[in-house]
Amino acid sequence: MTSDDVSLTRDWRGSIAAGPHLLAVAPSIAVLLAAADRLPDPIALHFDLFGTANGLFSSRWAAIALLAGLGVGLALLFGLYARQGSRLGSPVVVSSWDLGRWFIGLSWAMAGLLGGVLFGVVAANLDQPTATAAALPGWTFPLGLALAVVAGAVGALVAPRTPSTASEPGPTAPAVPLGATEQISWSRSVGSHWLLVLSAALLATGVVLGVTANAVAGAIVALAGALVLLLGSVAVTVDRRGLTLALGPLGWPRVRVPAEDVVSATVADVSPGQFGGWGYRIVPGARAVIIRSGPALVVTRRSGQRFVVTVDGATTAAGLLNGLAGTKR
Amino acid sequence: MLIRVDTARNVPLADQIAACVRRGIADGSARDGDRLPGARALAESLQVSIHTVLAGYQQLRDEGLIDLRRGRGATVRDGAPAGRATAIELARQLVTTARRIDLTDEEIVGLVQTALRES
Repeated sequence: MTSDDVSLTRDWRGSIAAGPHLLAVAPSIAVLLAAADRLPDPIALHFDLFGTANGLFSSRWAAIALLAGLGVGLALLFGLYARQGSRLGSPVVVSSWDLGRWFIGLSWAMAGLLGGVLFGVVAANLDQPTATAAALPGWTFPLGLALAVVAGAVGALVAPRTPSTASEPGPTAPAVPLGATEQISWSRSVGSHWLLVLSAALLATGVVLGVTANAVAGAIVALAGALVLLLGSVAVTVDRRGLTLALGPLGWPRVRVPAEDVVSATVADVSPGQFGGWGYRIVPGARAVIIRSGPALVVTRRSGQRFVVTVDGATTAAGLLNGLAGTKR
Repeated sequence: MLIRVDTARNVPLADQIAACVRRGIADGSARDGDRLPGARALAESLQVSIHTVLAGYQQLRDEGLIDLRRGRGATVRDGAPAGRATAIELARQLVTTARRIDLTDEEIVGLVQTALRES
């Protein structure tokens, strides 16, 4: 495959992920444009759980601008991410699934859900004397869910297959021989400054929000901050027990891969894009703790599942795990 | 940093732990201000007593390579300790080699003094 083909695939992939979000807002905008005489002014755009209009009343043109902005924004977000994701080829297969296709399916499903719900919201305003009289039709969420399922399936089917440039993990790190009476302990910490900054920002926002506005909203934001803090650093240890990860500043919770469960270990470059983001990730075929992009320890377990953690200088760790796997067999 | 100890070797475990950390500081895998593994965690990891690990760490503190502070644990002392760690390691190797050929303590000190005078 030439580089032109690759960039063409990339643009194509981005367009496929972006397209449905533009389509999703189109019917709602069409109704707003065409049925001006059947709509109240302002119209209701926000409803409570029981479908009663409870806020965000806006004029017809503001609603059109809002929907168009939402469609274009989501299209850009999903399109750019899909385009980016396909460039991040890794030399190592970390998942048995084609995550690029999966992502496009997800993008289409989100667009389907959004399209259905937005259409319901606009339709709720049709033939109402005032916005407050608008009630969300009962079919809104079922329609959104049905559209999500159908669009998601179609999206995954039309998405281009990811060219499989990735391979199985290359030569594993040479096993470090271990004596029967020998004990080992390799340890290394890895942290991300910007995850810590993000965590501090979320915690501060949560406290301010909780004090000034809404205690529940504040607690939720602060909880998110605490979770980011937990996943902002990790201490990796390899010893006779196997691989141990101690997350966060308290070293808790812990994740362990027992030595008996290790078939082989190697080092590879990975990117958060392969795992759908940072933190503790579960993707088909692999689990991972992703703090940054770059070199990572990749452990293959007896089940064939991979365990990945981003850590520096992992060649020694991989060699030790291979040595341990050798003595246990 | 890799710490390896062998219970079959004729060297106290605390000395083996200290030697591994010293080598880690000498080769740059532990830098100024880096935190060493907590004593309890390292003891569990190596399946040795926590007192053994603390004895090793105290040895390193006495050599001026690490700081031990309550609550903060063990950290590599600031101020380029890599060279210092190498020098201490070489001195220990000198002693081991000299003892192997049955040199007395006075003769070993004499060797170092001669080397100092001639350098």
